[in-house]
Amino acid sequence: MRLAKLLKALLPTLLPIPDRDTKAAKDAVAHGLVCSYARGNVNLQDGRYMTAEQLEARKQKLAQYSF
Amino acid sequence: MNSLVSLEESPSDVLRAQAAEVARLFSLAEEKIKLVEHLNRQLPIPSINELRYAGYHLVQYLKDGDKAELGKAENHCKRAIYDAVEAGVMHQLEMIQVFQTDFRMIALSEHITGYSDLKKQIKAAKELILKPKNGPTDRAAYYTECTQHLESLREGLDTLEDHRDDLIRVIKRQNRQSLATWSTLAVTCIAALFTVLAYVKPPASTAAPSSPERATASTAPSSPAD
Repeated sequence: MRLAKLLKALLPTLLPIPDRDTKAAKDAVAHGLVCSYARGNVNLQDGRYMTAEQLEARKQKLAQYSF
Repeated sequence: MNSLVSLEESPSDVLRAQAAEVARLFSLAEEKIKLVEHLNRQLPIPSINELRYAGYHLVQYLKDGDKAELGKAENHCKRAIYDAVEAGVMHQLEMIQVFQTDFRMIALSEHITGYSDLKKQIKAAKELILKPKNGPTDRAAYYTECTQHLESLREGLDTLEDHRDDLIRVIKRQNRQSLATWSTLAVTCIAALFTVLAYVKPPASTAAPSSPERATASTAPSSPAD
């Protein structure tokens, strides 16, 4: 462990680049929380849920399509 | 509902009828949410949120006995139904869109009976969900209409999916015909190319004696006069 730490301190490392869009990061955090805390519903546990925003986006996409 | 209640009924009967209506709408909302969750394989959060509000108002009614709370709970149940059904309608429309994209090269009306009627239903459903709704009261007003659209679209999508195998066969047949046409065209082009080459290029036996002369003529140095 010490050797690994020493090597990490001595050698140049690539820094992780944070997301530009903080909303996407927040959504990802919320998604992870829902998955971890959900009980009793398989879809929620797998993170399969539709928020009002997502529904609105899908609606706008449908509006552009001509049946 | 109020029109059905006779004048002889006591206020408690009216309240009981209203509570029964709220209970009916609540269970209907639950049923629709389960249906849409099953269809979309996703849980519609906005409708669950509306049911949460309905529960809040019911608890307020139980606590204070305020009749207005029952009305509010009823409206929230209607909105919950509308939101769930709207998500279902959107999913059905998206599936129909996928179907139309898959078979965009085929005239579907020639192969599916009643396709034009289905298109009318699709357009009506699309118009309803895209119609601007001024506030939550509008959503409560449209919940029955939206439910009818969901049922008709489900039937329509089932009809379309029943024809999928037949349409795939039609596409395969068309592809075979196209392939045959293209191969005939390719063979014709190659044959034409060979014919042209044979016409332009002289035969090797006649060209052989003249070639050294041509070669010497082309390699000979040009005269100073040039």
